[in-house]
Amino acid sequence: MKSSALNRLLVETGELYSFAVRFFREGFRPRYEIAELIRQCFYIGNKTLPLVGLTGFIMGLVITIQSHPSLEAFGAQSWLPSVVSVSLVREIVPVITALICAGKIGSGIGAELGSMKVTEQIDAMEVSGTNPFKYLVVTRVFAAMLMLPLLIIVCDTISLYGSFLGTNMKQVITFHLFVNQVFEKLSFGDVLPSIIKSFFFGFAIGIIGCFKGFNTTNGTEGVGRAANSAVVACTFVVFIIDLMAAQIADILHIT
Amino acid sequence: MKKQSINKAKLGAFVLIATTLLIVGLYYIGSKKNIFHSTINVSAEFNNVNGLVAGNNVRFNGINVGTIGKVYSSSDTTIKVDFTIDKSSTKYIFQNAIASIGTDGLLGNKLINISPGKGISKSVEEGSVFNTLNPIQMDNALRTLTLTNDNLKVITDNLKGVSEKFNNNNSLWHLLTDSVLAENVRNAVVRFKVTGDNTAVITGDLSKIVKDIKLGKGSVGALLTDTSFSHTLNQTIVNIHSISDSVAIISGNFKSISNNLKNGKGSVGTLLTDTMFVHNLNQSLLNVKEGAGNFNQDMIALRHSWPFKKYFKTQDKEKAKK
Repeated sequence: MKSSALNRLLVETGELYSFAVRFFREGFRPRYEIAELIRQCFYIGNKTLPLVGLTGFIMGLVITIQSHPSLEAFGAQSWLPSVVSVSLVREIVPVITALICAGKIGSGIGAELGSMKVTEQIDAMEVSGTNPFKYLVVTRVFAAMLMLPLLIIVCDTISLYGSFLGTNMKQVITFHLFVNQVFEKLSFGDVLPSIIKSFFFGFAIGIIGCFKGFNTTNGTEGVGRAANSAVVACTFVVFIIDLMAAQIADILHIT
Repeated sequence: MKKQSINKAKLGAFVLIATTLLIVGLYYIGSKKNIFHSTINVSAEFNNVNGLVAGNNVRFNGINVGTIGKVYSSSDTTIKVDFTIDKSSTKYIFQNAIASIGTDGLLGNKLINISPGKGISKSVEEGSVFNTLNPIQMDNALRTLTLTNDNLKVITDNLKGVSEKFNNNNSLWHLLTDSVLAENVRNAVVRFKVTGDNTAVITGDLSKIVKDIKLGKGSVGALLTDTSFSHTLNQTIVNIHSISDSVAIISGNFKSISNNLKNGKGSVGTLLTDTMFVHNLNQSLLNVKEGAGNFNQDMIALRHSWPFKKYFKTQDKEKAKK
Protein backbone atom coordinates (compact mmCIF):
# COMPACT_ATOMS: atom_id res chain seq x y z
CA MET A 1 0.00 0.00 0.00
CA LYS A 2 2.71 2.35 1.09
CA SER A 3 4.88 1.55 -1.90
CA SER A 4 1.93 1.98 -4.23
CA ALA A 5 1.20 5.45 -2.75
CA LEU A 6 4.84 6.40 -3.27
CA ASN A 7 4.66 4.91 -6.72
CA ARG A 8 1.57 6.97 -7.52
CA LEU A 9 3.27 10.14 -6.31
CA LEU A 10 6.32 9.45 -8.50
CA VAL A 11 4.17 8.62 -11.52
CA GLU A 12 2.09 11.76 -11.04
CA THR A 13 5.23 13.91 -10.68
CA GLY A 14 6.59 12.43 -13.89
CA GLU A 15 3.32 13.02 -15.68
CA LEU A 16 3.13 16.59 -14.39
CA TYR A 17 6.67 17.19 -15.62
CA SER A 18 5.88 15.89 -19.12
CA PHE A 19 2.67 17.95 -19.05
CA ALA A 20 4.75 21.07 -18.32
CA VAL A 21 7.17 20.18 -21.12
CA ARG A 22 4.25 19.81 -23.47
CA PHE A 23 2.98 23.23 -22.35
CA PHE A 24 6.28 24.87 -23.28
CA ARG A 25 6.44 23.00 -26.59
CA GLU A 26 2.94 23.97 -27.65
CA GLY A 27 2.68 27.32 -25.89
CA PHE A 28 5.29 29.16 -27.89
CA ARG A 29 4.23 27.80 -31.24
CA PRO A 30 1.52 29.48 -33.34
CA ARG A 31 -1.34 29.69 -33.63
CA TYR A 32 -2.07 31.73 -30.50
CA GLU A 33 -5.50 31.81 -28.94
CA ILE A 34 -5.35 35.51 -28.07
CA ALA A 35 -9.10 36.06 -27.54
CA GLU A 36 -9.35 33.11 -25.19
CA LEU A 37 -6.20 34.25 -23.36
CA ILE A 38 -7.76 37.68 -22.75
CA ARG A 39 -10.99 36.06 -21.58
CA GLN A 40 -9.04 33.90 -19.12
CA CYS A 41 -7.01 36.93 -18.01
CA PHE A 42 -10.25 38.68 -17.20
CA TYR A 43 -11.55 35.76 -15.16
CA ILE A 44 -8.29 35.19 -13.33
CA GLY A 45 -7.34 38.84 -12.93
CA ASN A 46 -10.46 40.95 -12.52
CA LYS A 47 -12.66 38.31 -10.92
CA THR A 48 -10.07 37.46 -8.28
CA LEU A 49 -9.12 41.07 -7.55
CA PRO A 50 -11.89 41.88 -4.99
CA LEU A 51 -11.10 38.77 -2.96
CA VAL A 52 -7.35 39.33 -3.14
CA GLY A 53 -7.71 43.06 -2.43
CA LEU A 54 -9.85 42.50 0.65
CA THR A 55 -7.48 39.84 1.96
CA GLY A 56 -4.49 42.07 1.34
CA PHE A 57 -6.13 44.99 3.12
CA ILE A 58 -6.92 42.84 6.14
CA MET A 59 -3.41 41.35 6.17
CA GLY A 60 -1.82 44.81 6.11
CA LEU A 61 -4.04 45.96 8.94
CA VAL A 62 -3.56 42.84 11.03
CA ILE A 63 0.21 42.57 10.62
CA THR A 64 0.55 46.22 11.63
CA ILE A 65 -1.62 45.82 14.70
CA GLN A 66 0.18 42.62 15.69
CA SER A 67 3.67 44.08 15.19
CA HIS A 68 2.93 47.18 17.22
CA PRO A 69 3.32 45.71 20.75
CA SER A 70 6.64 44.01 20.04
CA LEU A 71 8.10 47.12 18.43
CA GLU A 72 6.72 49.22 21.26
CA ALA A 73 8.68 47.06 23.70
CA PHE A 74 11.85 48.41 22.06
CA GLY A 75 10.44 51.92 21.85
CA ALA A 76 10.68 51.57 18.09
CA GLN A 77 7.09 52.35 17.05
CA SER A 78 8.44 54.75 14.47
CA TRP A 79 9.88 51.76 12.63
CA LEU A 80 6.45 50.20 12.24
CA PRO A 81 5.83 51.37 8.62
CA SER A 82 9.23 50.27 7.37
CA VAL A 83 9.22 46.92 9.17
CA VAL A 84 5.68 46.06 8.16
CA SER A 85 6.12 47.21 4.57
CA VAL A 86 9.20 45.06 4.07
CA SER A 87 7.51 41.95 5.45
CA LEU A 88 4.35 42.63 3.45
CA VAL A 89 6.08 43.28 0.13
CA ARG A 90 8.70 40.58 0.44
CA GLU A 91 6.67 37.69 1.77
CA ILE A 92 3.17 38.05 3.10
CA VAL A 93 1.36 39.58 0.14
CA PRO A 94 2.87 37.31 -2.55
CA VAL A 95 2.24 34.15 -0.57
CA ILE A 96 -1.25 35.09 0.60
CA THR A 97 -2.22 36.11 -2.91
CA ALA A 98 -0.81 32.91 -4.35
CA LEU A 99 -2.67 30.81 -1.77
CA ILE A 100 -5.96 32.53 -2.50
CA CYS A 101 -5.38 32.06 -6.21
CA ALA A 102 -4.53 28.41 -5.59
CA GLY A 103 -7.88 28.08 -3.86
CA LYS A 104 -9.91 30.02 -6.37
CA ILE A 105 -8.12 29.60 -9.72
CA GLY A 106 -6.54 26.18 -9.16
CA SER A 107 -9.77 24.61 -8.05
CA GLY A 108 -11.73 26.49 -10.70
CA ILE A 109 -9.51 25.32 -13.53
CA GLY A 110 -9.37 21.79 -12.14
CA ALA A 111 -13.16 21.56 -11.86
CA GLU A 112 -13.83 23.19 -15.24
CA LEU A 113 -11.39 21.08 -17.21
CA GLY A 114 -12.37 18.01 -15.19
CA SER A 115 -16.03 18.36 -16.06
CA MET A 116 -15.12 19.01 -19.71
CA LYS A 117 -13.01 15.87 -19.63
CA VAL A 118 -15.66 13.60 -18.12
CA THR A 119 -18.35 14.98 -20.44
CA GLU A 120 -15.98 14.26 -23.34
CA GLN A 121 -16.03 17.88 -24.52
CA ILE A 122 -12.25 17.80 -24.85
CA ASP A 123 -12.41 14.80 -27.14
CA ALA A 124 -15.11 16.53 -29.16
CA MET A 125 -12.88 19.61 -29.48
CA GLU A 126 -10.06 17.46 -30.78
CA VAL A 127 -12.41 15.88 -33.32
CA SER A 128 -13.61 19.31 -34.48
CA GLY A 129 -10.01 20.29 -35.27
CA THR A 130 -9.27 22.62 -32.36
CA ASN A 131 -6.19 21.81 -30.31
CA PRO A 132 -7.70 21.45 -26.83
CA PHE A 133 -4.30 21.74 -25.15
CA LYS A 134 -3.61 25.08 -26.82
CA TYR A 135 -7.13 26.35 -26.32
CA LEU A 136 -7.68 25.22 -22.75
CA VAL A 137 -4.30 24.69 -21.04
CA VAL A 138 -1.91 27.16 -22.64
CA THR A 139 -4.30 30.11 -22.36
CA ARG A 140 -5.12 29.40 -18.72
CA VAL A 141 -1.50 28.91 -17.64
CA PHE A 142 -0.34 32.02 -19.46
CA ALA A 143 -3.24 33.98 -18.03
CA ALA A 144 -2.29 32.87 -14.51
CA MET A 145 1.37 33.71 -15.11
CA LEU A 146 0.52 37.19 -16.38
CA MET A 147 -2.16 38.04 -13.85
CA LEU A 148 -0.57 36.86 -10.60
CA PRO A 149 2.20 39.51 -10.62
CA LEU A 150 -0.34 42.23 -11.37
CA LEU A 151 -2.62 40.98 -8.60
CA ILE A 152 0.31 41.01 -6.21
CA ILE A 153 1.27 44.60 -7.13
CA VAL A 154 -2.27 45.84 -6.58
CA CYS A 155 -2.51 43.80 -3.39
CA ASP A 156 0.80 45.31 -2.17
CA THR A 157 -0.67 48.77 -2.58
CA ILE A 158 -3.92 47.92 -0.87
CA SER A 159 -2.21 46.15 2.02
CA LEU A 160 0.17 49.08 2.52
CA TYR A 161 -2.87 51.33 2.75
CA GLY A 162 -4.31 48.92 5.31
CA SER A 163 -1.02 49.15 7.16
CA PHE A 164 -1.27 52.95 7.09
CA LEU A 165 -4.69 52.76 8.72
CA GLY A 166 -3.39 50.22 11.22
CA THR A 167 -0.46 52.48 12.12
CA ASN A 168 -2.85 55.37 12.62
CA MET A 169 -4.86 53.35 15.12
CA LYS A 170 -1.98 53.39 17.60
CA GLN A 171 -0.13 56.55 16.71
CA VAL A 172 -0.61 59.59 14.53
CA ILE A 173 1.21 59.53 11.23
CA THR A 174 0.57 61.48 8.05
CA PHE A 175 0.18 59.65 4.78
CA HIS A 176 3.17 61.50 3.37
CA LEU A 177 5.44 60.45 6.23
CA PHE A 178 4.16 56.88 5.97
CA VAL A 179 4.97 56.72 2.25
CA ASN A 180 8.39 58.25 2.92
CA GLN A 181 9.20 55.71 5.63
CA VAL A 182 7.98 52.80 3.51
CA PHE A 183 10.09 53.72 0.51
CA GLU A 184 13.02 54.62 2.75
CA LYS A 185 13.40 50.95 3.66
CA LEU A 186 12.11 49.23 0.51
CA SER A 187 14.62 48.46 -2.19
CA PHE A 188 14.58 46.82 -5.59
CA GLY A 189 15.88 43.74 -3.81
CA ASP A 190 12.59 43.58 -1.92
CA VAL A 191 10.22 44.18 -4.82
CA LEU A 192 11.81 42.39 -7.79
CA PRO A 193 12.21 38.92 -6.21
CA SER A 194 8.60 38.99 -5.11
CA ILE A 195 7.47 39.91 -8.64
CA ILE A 196 9.66 37.25 -10.23
CA LYS A 197 8.52 34.50 -7.89
CA SER A 198 4.91 35.45 -8.53
CA PHE A 199 5.38 34.38 -12.19
CA PHE A 200 6.35 30.95 -10.90
CA PHE A 201 3.40 30.92 -8.53
CA GLY A 202 1.11 31.68 -11.47
CA PHE A 203 2.71 29.02 -13.61
CA ALA A 204 2.48 26.39 -10.85
CA ILE A 205 -1.15 27.18 -10.07
CA GLY A 206 -2.18 27.15 -13.75
CA ILE A 207 -0.25 24.05 -14.75
CA ILE A 208 -1.31 21.98 -11.72
CA GLY A 209 -4.98 23.00 -12.08
CA CYS A 210 -4.93 22.11 -15.77
CA PHE A 211 -3.05 18.85 -15.16
CA LYS A 212 -5.50 17.72 -12.52
CA GLY A 213 -8.47 18.68 -14.68
CA PHE A 214 -7.04 17.18 -17.87
CA ASN A 215 -6.41 13.86 -16.15
CA THR A 216 -9.76 13.52 -14.42
CA THR A 217 -11.20 10.04 -14.39
CA ASN A 218 -14.16 8.31 -12.81
CA GLY A 219 -16.94 10.66 -13.94
CA THR A 220 -18.50 13.43 -11.86
CA GLU A 221 -17.03 12.02 -8.67
CA GLY A 222 -13.60 12.50 -10.18
CA VAL A 223 -14.32 16.19 -10.88
CA GLY A 224 -14.62 16.96 -7.17
CA ARG A 225 -11.49 14.99 -6.43
CA ALA A 226 -9.61 16.78 -9.21
CA ALA A 227 -10.60 20.20 -7.84
CA ASN A 228 -9.67 19.20 -4.33
CA SER A 229 -6.31 17.68 -5.20
CA ALA A 230 -5.53 20.68 -7.44
CA VAL A 231 -5.94 23.03 -4.45
CA VAL A 232 -3.83 20.83 -2.19
CA ALA A 233 -1.04 20.42 -4.73
CA CYS A 234 -1.06 24.10 -5.67
CA THR A 235 -0.81 25.20 -2.02
CA PHE A 236 2.04 22.80 -1.41
CA VAL A 237 3.95 23.82 -4.52
CA VAL A 238 3.49 27.51 -3.74
CA PHE A 239 5.34 27.01 -0.46
CA ILE A 240 8.05 24.95 -2.14
CA ILE A 241 8.58 27.70 -4.70
CA ASP A 242 8.60 30.31 -1.92
CA LEU A 243 11.29 28.38 -0.07
CA MET A 244 13.40 28.10 -3.21
CA ALA A 245 12.94 31.78 -4.01
CA ALA A 246 14.01 32.80 -0.50
CA GLN A 247 17.12 30.61 -0.72
CA ILE A 248 18.08 31.84 -4.18
CA ALA A 249 17.58 35.47 -3.12
CA ASP A 250 19.74 34.82 -0.08
CA ILE A 251 22.50 33.18 -2.14
CA LEU A 252 22.47 36.09 -4.62
CA HIS A 253 22.43 38.61 -1.72
CA ILE A 254 19.24 40.20 -2.99
CA THR A 255 18.05 41.76 0.23
CA MET B 1 -20.15 40.57 -28.16
CA LYS B 2 -20.93 43.67 -26.18
CA LYS B 3 -20.21 41.88 -22.91
CA GLN B 4 -16.83 40.83 -24.27
CA SER B 5 -15.77 44.40 -24.95
CA ILE B 6 -16.72 45.49 -21.43
CA ASN B 7 -14.63 42.68 -20.05
CA LYS B 8 -11.71 43.87 -22.13
CA ALA B 9 -12.04 47.42 -20.84
CA LYS B 10 -12.09 46.21 -17.23
CA LEU B 11 -9.15 43.93 -17.87
CA GLY B 12 -7.29 46.78 -19.56
CA ALA B 13 -7.99 49.07 -16.60
CA PHE B 14 -6.75 46.43 -14.16
CA VAL B 15 -3.57 45.80 -16.12
CA LEU B 16 -2.88 49.51 -16.56
CA ILE B 17 -3.48 50.30 -12.89
CA ALA B 18 -1.25 47.45 -11.74
CA THR B 19 1.52 48.37 -14.17
CA THR B 20 1.33 52.04 -13.17
CA LEU B 21 1.55 51.10 -9.50
CA LEU B 22 4.61 48.98 -10.21
CA ILE B 23 6.31 51.74 -12.18
CA VAL B 24 5.51 54.41 -9.58
CA GLY B 25 6.70 52.15 -6.77
CA LEU B 26 9.92 51.31 -8.53
CA TYR B 27 10.48 54.99 -9.30
CA TYR B 28 10.00 55.91 -5.64
CA ILE B 29 12.42 53.22 -4.53
CA GLY B 30 14.89 54.31 -7.18
CA SER B 31 14.63 57.95 -6.22
CA LYS B 32 15.37 57.06 -2.61
CA LYS B 33 18.44 55.15 -3.77
CA ASN B 34 19.55 58.03 -6.01
CA ILE B 35 19.31 55.88 -9.12
CA PHE B 36 17.54 58.42 -11.30
CA HIS B 37 19.55 61.47 -10.19
CA SER B 38 22.74 62.52 -11.88
CA THR B 39 25.53 61.81 -9.43
CA ILE B 40 29.28 62.10 -9.10
CA ASN B 41 31.60 59.34 -7.90
CA VAL B 42 33.85 60.12 -4.95
CA SER B 43 35.74 58.00 -2.44
CA ALA B 44 37.28 57.90 1.02
CA GLU B 45 39.73 55.62 2.79
CA PHE B 46 39.20 54.27 6.28
CA ASN B 47 41.10 52.01 8.64
CA ASN B 48 37.89 50.33 9.73
CA VAL B 49 34.43 50.63 8.22
CA ASN B 50 32.52 48.84 11.02
CA GLY B 51 30.37 46.79 8.67
CA LEU B 52 29.51 49.45 6.10
CA VAL B 53 28.11 47.80 2.97
CA ALA B 54 27.10 48.84 -0.51
CA GLY B 55 23.73 50.59 -0.55
CA ASN B 56 24.10 52.35 2.81
CA ASN B 57 23.34 56.05 2.90
CA VAL B 58 25.72 58.98 2.68
CA ARG B 59 24.68 62.00 4.70
CA PHE B 60 25.88 65.58 4.60
CA ASN B 61 25.02 67.31 7.88
CA GLY B 62 22.18 64.81 8.31
CA ILE B 63 20.65 65.04 4.84
CA ASN B 64 20.77 62.00 2.57
CA VAL B 65 22.92 62.99 -0.38
CA GLY B 66 24.09 59.67 -1.80
CA THR B 67 24.70 55.96 -1.46
CA ILE B 68 27.66 53.68 -0.91
CA GLY B 69 28.76 52.01 -4.13
CA LYS B 70 31.60 49.68 -3.27
CA VAL B 71 33.65 48.79 -0.18
CA TYR B 72 36.97 47.01 -0.68
CA SER B 73 40.48 46.70 0.75
CA SER B 74 42.93 48.98 -1.00
CA SER B 75 45.93 47.91 1.11
CA ASP B 76 46.61 45.79 4.18
CA THR B 77 45.46 48.57 6.53
CA THR B 78 43.06 50.69 4.52
CA ILE B 79 39.56 50.09 3.26
CA LYS B 80 38.49 52.14 0.30
CA VAL B 81 34.83 53.16 0.02
CA ASP B 82 33.49 54.39 -3.33
CA PHE B 83 30.25 56.29 -3.07
CA THR B 84 28.06 58.58 -5.10
CA ILE B 85 26.86 62.06 -4.22
CA ASP B 86 23.83 63.69 -5.73
CA LYS B 87 25.05 66.33 -8.16
CA SER B 88 22.61 68.94 -6.84
CA SER B 89 24.19 68.67 -3.36
CA THR B 90 27.79 69.08 -4.46
CA LYS B 91 27.63 72.87 -4.44
CA TYR B 92 28.05 73.08 -0.68
CA ILE B 93 30.20 70.01 -0.11
CA PHE B 94 33.81 71.11 -0.26
CA GLN B 95 36.91 69.07 -0.88
CA ASN B 96 38.18 69.61 2.67
CA ALA B 97 35.02 68.06 4.17
CA ILE B 98 35.52 65.13 6.55
CA ALA B 99 33.89 61.74 6.07
CA SER B 100 33.25 59.52 9.08
CA ILE B 101 31.45 56.23 9.68
CA GLY B 102 28.31 56.65 11.76
CA THR B 103 25.20 54.75 12.73
CA ASP B 104 21.60 55.58 11.94
CA GLY B 105 20.22 55.69 15.47
CA LEU B 106 21.59 53.44 18.19
CA LEU B 107 21.15 50.12 16.40
CA GLY B 108 20.53 51.24 12.85
CA ASN B 109 22.41 50.84 9.61
CA LYS B 110 25.92 52.11 9.18
CA LEU B 111 26.34 55.22 7.09
CA ILE B 112 28.91 57.80 6.07
CA ASN B 113 28.55 61.25 7.61
CA ILE B 114 30.16 64.10 5.73
CA SER B 115 30.76 67.18 7.85
CA PRO B 116 32.24 70.48 6.62
CA GLY B 117 35.96 71.04 7.14
CA LYS B 118 37.56 74.24 8.37
CA GLY B 119 38.59 76.94 5.97
CA ILE B 120 37.74 77.51 2.35
CA SER B 121 38.10 74.95 -0.41
CA LYS B 122 36.74 74.04 -3.83
CA SER B 123 33.50 72.11 -4.27
CA VAL B 124 33.82 68.34 -4.65
CA GLU B 125 34.12 67.01 -8.14
CA GLU B 126 34.28 63.62 -9.86
CA GLY B 127 36.96 61.44 -8.21
CA SER B 128 37.52 63.59 -5.09
CA VAL B 129 38.92 61.73 -2.08
CA PHE B 130 37.63 62.82 1.30
CA ASN B 131 39.60 63.14 4.52
CA THR B 132 38.35 60.70 7.11
CA LEU B 133 37.91 60.27 10.82
CA ASN B 134 38.18 56.83 12.34
CA PRO B 135 34.91 55.53 13.74
CA ILE B 136 34.22 55.16 17.44
CA GLN B 137 34.69 51.50 18.21
CA MET B 138 32.36 49.94 20.67
CA ASP B 139 34.97 47.57 22.14
CA ASN B 140 37.35 50.49 22.80
CA ALA B 141 34.55 52.34 24.53
CA LEU B 142 33.78 49.25 26.60
CA ARG B 143 37.44 48.85 27.51
CA THR B 144 37.52 52.42 28.83
CA LEU B 145 34.31 51.72 30.69
CA THR B 146 35.93 48.73 32.39
CA LEU B 147 38.78 50.95 33.56
CA THR B 148 36.27 53.49 34.83
CA ASN B 149 34.43 50.76 36.68
CA ASP B 150 37.65 49.62 38.37
CA ASN B 151 38.37 53.19 39.46
CA LEU B 152 34.83 53.53 40.71
CA LYS B 153 35.27 50.41 42.80
CA VAL B 154 38.39 51.83 44.45
CA ILE B 155 36.62 55.11 45.11
CA THR B 156 33.60 53.43 46.68
CA ASP B 157 35.90 51.28 48.82
CA ASN B 158 37.60 54.43 50.09
CA LEU B 159 34.25 56.06 50.77
CA LYS B 160 33.20 52.99 52.67
CA GLY B 161 36.34 53.19 54.84
CA VAL B 162 35.74 56.88 55.49
CA SER B 163 32.14 56.32 56.54
CA GLU B 164 33.20 53.46 58.83
CA LYS B 165 35.69 55.78 60.51
CA PHE B 166 32.95 58.32 60.96
CA ASN B 167 30.79 55.71 62.60
CA ASN B 168 33.50 54.52 64.98
CA ASN B 169 34.70 57.96 66.04
CA ASN B 170 32.73 59.37 68.99
CA SER B 171 34.33 62.82 69.05
CA LEU B 172 32.85 63.65 65.69
CA TRP B 173 29.41 62.65 66.94
CA HIS B 174 29.96 64.85 70.02
CA LEU B 175 30.84 67.66 67.69
CA LEU B 176 27.70 67.06 65.70
CA THR B 177 25.40 66.68 68.71
CA ASP B 178 26.88 69.44 70.94
CA SER B 179 24.07 72.00 71.46
CA VAL B 180 26.42 74.70 72.84
CA LEU B 181 28.54 74.47 69.75
CA ALA B 182 25.43 74.77 67.63
CA GLU B 183 24.43 77.88 69.60
CA ASN B 184 27.90 79.35 69.06
CA VAL B 185 27.75 78.57 65.42
CA ARG B 186 24.35 80.23 65.26
CA ASN B 187 25.72 83.35 66.98
CA ALA B 188 28.67 83.35 64.65
CA VAL B 189 26.33 83.17 61.76
CA VAL B 190 24.34 86.11 63.16
CA ARG B 191 27.57 88.07 63.45
CA PHE B 192 28.54 87.08 60.00
CA LYS B 193 25.21 88.46 58.90
CA VAL B 194 25.80 91.76 60.74
CA THR B 195 29.28 91.96 59.21
CA GLY B 196 27.80 91.26 55.88
CA ASP B 197 25.26 94.06 56.36
CA ASN B 198 28.04 96.43 57.34
CA THR B 199 30.04 95.33 54.35
CA ALA B 200 27.04 96.08 52.20
CA VAL B 201 26.82 99.57 53.69
CA ILE B 202 30.55 100.10 53.19
CA THR B 203 30.32 98.85 49.67
CA GLY B 204 27.45 101.26 49.11
CA ASP B 205 29.54 104.10 50.45
CA LEU B 206 32.48 103.04 48.30
CA SER B 207 30.22 102.89 45.33
CA LYS B 208 28.97 106.39 46.12
CA ILE B 209 32.54 107.64 46.50
CA VAL B 210 33.51 106.13 43.21
CA LYS B 211 30.45 107.70 41.63
CA ASP B 212 31.35 111.08 43.13
CA ILE B 213 34.90 110.75 41.88
CA LYS B 214 33.50 109.97 38.47
CA LEU B 215 31.34 113.06 38.63
CA GLY B 216 34.34 115.18 39.72
CA LYS B 217 33.18 115.85 43.30
CA GLY B 218 35.89 116.29 46.03
CA SER B 219 39.59 116.89 45.57
CA VAL B 220 40.42 113.45 44.22
CA GLY B 221 37.52 113.75 41.83
CA ALA B 222 38.69 117.17 40.74
CA LEU B 223 42.18 115.80 40.35
CA LEU B 224 40.93 112.98 38.16
CA THR B 225 38.36 114.86 36.15
CA ASP B 226 39.86 118.40 35.83
CA THR B 227 41.16 118.61 32.29
CA SER B 228 43.20 121.77 32.84
CA PHE B 229 44.89 120.06 35.78
CA SER B 230 45.80 117.19 33.58
CA HIS B 231 47.23 119.68 31.09
CA THR B 232 49.32 121.24 33.82
CA LEU B 233 50.39 117.82 34.97
CA ASN B 234 51.38 117.07 31.45
CA GLN B 235 53.42 120.26 31.29
CA THR B 236 55.04 119.38 34.59
CA ILE B 237 55.96 115.98 33.34
CA VAL B 238 57.46 117.58 30.24
CA ASN B 239 59.46 119.88 32.47
CA ILE B 240 60.57 117.01 34.64
CA HIS B 241 61.55 115.27 31.49
CA SER B 242 63.66 118.20 30.30
CA ILE B 243 65.17 118.53 33.78
CA SER B 244 66.07 114.91 33.84
CA ASP B 245 67.63 115.40 30.41
CA SER B 246 69.72 118.23 31.80
CA VAL B 247 70.65 116.10 34.79
CA ALA B 248 71.71 113.44 32.40
CA ILE B 249 73.90 115.90 30.54
CA ILE B 250 75.34 117.16 33.83
CA SER B 251 76.02 113.70 35.06
CA GLY B 252 77.66 113.02 31.71
CA ASN B 253 79.88 116.01 32.28
CA PHE B 254 80.67 114.81 35.76
CA LYS B 255 81.61 111.53 34.35
CA SER B 256 84.00 113.05 31.83
CA ILE B 257 85.45 115.28 34.58
CA SER B 258 86.02 112.35 36.85
CA ASN B 259 87.58 110.52 33.95
CA ASN B 260 89.86 113.45 33.34
CA LEU B 261 90.69 113.54 37.01
CA LYS B 262 91.54 109.90 36.98
CA ASN B 263 93.77 110.30 33.96
CA GLY B 264 95.50 113.35 35.40
CA LYS B 265 94.22 115.88 32.92
CA GLY B 266 93.93 119.56 34.12
CA SER B 267 95.51 121.23 37.18
CA VAL B 268 93.30 119.49 39.76
CA GLY B 269 93.96 116.22 38.02
CA THR B 270 97.65 116.84 38.20
CA LEU B 271 97.25 117.79 41.82
CA LEU B 272 95.53 114.51 42.49
CA THR B 273 97.58 112.14 40.41
CA ASP B 274 101.14 113.57 40.42
CA THR B 275 102.97 111.64 43.17
CA MET B 276 106.08 113.86 42.90
CA PHE B 277 103.96 116.91 43.56
CA VAL B 278 102.48 115.25 46.64
CA HIS B 279 105.96 114.59 47.95
CA ASN B 280 106.98 118.22 47.38
CA LEU B 281 103.82 119.42 49.06
CA ASN B 282 104.59 117.24 52.07
CA GLN B 283 108.08 118.63 52.27
CA SER B 284 106.73 122.15 52.00
CA LEU B 285 104.24 121.54 54.77
CA LEU B 286 107.05 120.16 57.00
CA ASN B 287 109.07 123.24 56.28
CA VAL B 288 106.08 125.45 57.14
CA LYS B 289 105.57 123.51 60.38
CA GLU B 290 109.23 123.90 61.28
CA GLY B 291 109.08 127.61 60.40
CA ALA B 292 106.02 128.11 62.53
CA GLY B 293 107.71 126.41 65.52
CA ASN B 294 110.68 128.74 65.19
CA PHE B 295 108.35 131.72 64.89
CA ASN B 296 106.62 130.68 68.14
CA GLN B 297 109.93 130.55 69.99
CA ASP B 298 110.78 134.00 68.59
CA MET B 299 107.47 135.33 69.84
CA ILE B 300 107.99 133.94 73.38
CA ALA B 301 111.43 135.51 73.45
CA LEU B 302 109.86 138.78 72.34
CA ARG B 303 107.37 138.67 75.28
CA HIS B 304 110.09 138.54 77.79
CA SER B 305 112.08 141.38 76.23
CA TRP B 306 111.67 144.79 78.00
CA PRO B 307 109.72 146.96 75.50
CA PHE B 308 106.79 144.55 75.47
CA LYS B 309 106.92 143.13 79.01
CA LYS B 310 104.64 145.85 80.49
CA TYR B 311 101.87 145.35 77.92
CA PHE B 312 101.58 141.57 78.58
CA LYS B 313 101.59 142.19 82.38
CA THR B 314 98.65 144.66 82.10
CA GLN B 315 96.71 142.14 80.00
CA ASP B 316 97.18 139.36 82.58
CA LYS B 317 95.95 141.70 85.34
CA GLU B 318 92.75 142.51 83.42
CA LYS B 319 92.11 138.78 82.79
CA ALA B 320 92.48 138.06 86.52
CA LYS B 321 90.02 140.95 87.30
CA LYS B 322 87.35 139.36 85.12
